[in-house]
Amino acid sequence: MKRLERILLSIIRRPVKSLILILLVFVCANVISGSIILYNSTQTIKNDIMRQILPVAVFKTLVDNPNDLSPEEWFELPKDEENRVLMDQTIKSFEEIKQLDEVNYGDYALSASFWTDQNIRLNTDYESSLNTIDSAYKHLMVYGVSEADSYYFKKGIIHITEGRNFTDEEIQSGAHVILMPSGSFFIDEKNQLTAIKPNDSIKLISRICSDRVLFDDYFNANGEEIKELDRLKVYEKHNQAVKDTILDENTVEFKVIGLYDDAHFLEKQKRGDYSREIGFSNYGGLVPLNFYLDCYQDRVKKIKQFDELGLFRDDSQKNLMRFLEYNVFMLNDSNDIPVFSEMIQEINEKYQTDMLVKLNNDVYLKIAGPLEGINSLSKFVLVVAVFVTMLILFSVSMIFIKERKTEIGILLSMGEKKGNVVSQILLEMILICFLAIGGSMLTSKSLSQKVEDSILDHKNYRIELSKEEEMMVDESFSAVELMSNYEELLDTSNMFTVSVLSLILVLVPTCVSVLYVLGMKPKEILM
Amino acid sequence: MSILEVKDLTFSYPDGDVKRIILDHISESFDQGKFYAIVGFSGCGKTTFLSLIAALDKPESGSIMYQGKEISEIGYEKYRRNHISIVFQNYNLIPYMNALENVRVAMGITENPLGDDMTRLALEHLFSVGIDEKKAKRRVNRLSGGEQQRVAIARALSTNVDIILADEPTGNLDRKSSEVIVDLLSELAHQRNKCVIVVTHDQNVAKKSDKIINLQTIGMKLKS
Ligand SMILES: Nc1ncnc2c1ncn2[C@@H]1O[C@H](COP(=O)(O)OP(=O)(O)OP(=O)(O)O)[C@@H](O)[C@H]1O
Ligand SMILES: [Mg+2]
Repeated sequence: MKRLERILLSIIRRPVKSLILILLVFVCANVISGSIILYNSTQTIKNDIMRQILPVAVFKTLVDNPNDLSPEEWFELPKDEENRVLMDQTIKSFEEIKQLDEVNYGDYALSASFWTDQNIRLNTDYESSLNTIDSAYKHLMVYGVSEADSYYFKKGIIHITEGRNFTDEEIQSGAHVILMPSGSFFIDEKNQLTAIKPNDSIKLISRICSDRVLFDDYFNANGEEIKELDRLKVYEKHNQAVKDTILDENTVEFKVIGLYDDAHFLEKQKRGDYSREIGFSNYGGLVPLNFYLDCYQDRVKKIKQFDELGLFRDDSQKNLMRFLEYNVFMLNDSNDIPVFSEMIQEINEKYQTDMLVKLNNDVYLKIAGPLEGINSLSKFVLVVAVFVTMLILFSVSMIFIKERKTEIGILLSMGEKKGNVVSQILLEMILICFLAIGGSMLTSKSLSQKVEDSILDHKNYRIELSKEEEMMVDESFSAVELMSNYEELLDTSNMFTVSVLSLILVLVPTCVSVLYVLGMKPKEILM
Repeated sequence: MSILEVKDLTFSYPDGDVKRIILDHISESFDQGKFYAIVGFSGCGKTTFLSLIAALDKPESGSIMYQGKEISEIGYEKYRRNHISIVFQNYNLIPYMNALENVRVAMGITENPLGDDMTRLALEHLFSVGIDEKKAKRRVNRLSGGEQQRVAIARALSTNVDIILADEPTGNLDRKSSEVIVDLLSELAHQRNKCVIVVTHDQNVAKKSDKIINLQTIGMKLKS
């Protein structure tokens, strides 16, 4: 009788024992391969996320644009002089941070509203244009940016559609050049629109007024909303009234060098949605920060003078508050983060800016948190399962070998080589393992899928990132997409490797227990 | 020349701190075609002696020679595989196999040339000890004790060895079955030219043997 026949006979003629073994190995293999699949795929996604999270620091400062603050928080904000000093210090610390070796790129922007010599509308859409007051009554929201390749360009959120971007010299010198959103218009008295083009000029007017001039109502005597043309008249009337309160006026002519747009907006526009939303709180013109800062210094000086002379009839006109629109600092390497954090600490103390740094680690935890959970759980399960599997299989194969002691003794008494007996038992185990592991290959995927589903509700897996947090991830980053990648990984995980691994895990304890055969003496068993 | 020769065979078991000598300088030779009965009181070392000539244990000193060659030189496993067969008191068949398969397992282990059609040969051996084809294909644990011992003898026969060793082969059987088994064993010696060595308490067995070896008279002489 060939050894193979002996092996098959021992499996088939002892069906209960074989089934117990198959079931046992099947369960263990499921747990092991399931947790390997889970571990592997979560690990891959984690790395994916890590790759997509840029080594970026974003600061939360006391002079941030208070757009999304609650009234209480707004009340807590440093006001006037305090705001001015803090902004000075913040800009100084930002400039110092930009110079750090660890920092590859840094950009920040301040926002302010300027008067203009003409009515400007930023949207072709009438309704949404109405909602942005600035764009319709000779006001323009302007952002001072500190880099030629300013952050939203660099990140690819916005891009030049016509003309060109700033040059470094223009940024340095605070040149009088402006980038406008594409699709912005001048509006004349007859409500005629003229598209703004490169080489057009826009006059930005910095005005100090003595009093606040209130608007006439947007509604007519009958309670109906007034038409745009009428509204322009309301603005005009208002502007005339303002002229009488002007204490100082500084007009600077800006040359439009380029138009920018974001792909997002263009897509939305096709759907009839004209709301523009990039990183800024409002759409507006971009100018070099240095122009902006010079202008501000001048304004601070003059307001102080006028105040000393008692020229202000309304205190709100003395307002010096300025806000940071965004700030972002890209590091050379994620590994620099600890050193960078320490440097920040020093700079923070030096300038007493009380800034909170938000690093990509926080974002990572937010995005990868649930995955991290599965990942470490599967690691734990894997370790426990490996240990328990080894233990169980060792005990069971030991029991089965002891139970077959007589049979082994008979074979040995007939002169069968011990190696042959050992390999027979091992081969039996391998055959059983193949059956069980083959089965588990079919089930472990759906098992791990179920585990993962119960921990992580896929369909509802959305990660809301704050504005700062969005600055820390690739533009292409999408949590939902990552999760679908995850599904794919579950599919394509290398089942073969996983199975071979389970096979080894099953064979190790069997091999150890089979060593027992080597010590068997047929005389003691049989006589 | 004798097929098996035992010279000055000595064996002892450890008994606490001292050694308890069981076999002391035993010499004996065995020929082909002869039926030997080993007798002696219980505990005198019969089974021990048999296990030594079956190469299931190592003697302390002395030699066991198969056809003039030390069995340790042949190699214990190889010697067991190709030159001897053992029949046990409690049959020792593989319980989940049938009679035929039990015989074929043994035929698969020996290196002796047996012929091509193993199954037919095995069936012939089984038939020669009185097991028909129907019983041959029955699981051995559903055969009677006597039938199981016949299967064990067929298995011993099947590997075409010269020496057949048996330890109390009739110990578990009734008188009638015992007689059948003893007849079969003596037939192996006298008609098939095997050297059959049987350890027994059974007077019938001893009577049918060609030579009775009383271990207690040859081995105990020197014992204190
Ligand atoms: N493994 C062992 N360790 C220690 N002593 C043993 C061992 N095996 C047997 N003995 C002792 O050796 C002596 C001889 O044993 P053996 O089995 O050879 O006797 P036996 O002649 O076959 O007896 P029986 O007729 O009862 O089968 C006995 O006293 C027994 O107790
Ligand atoms: Mg005995």
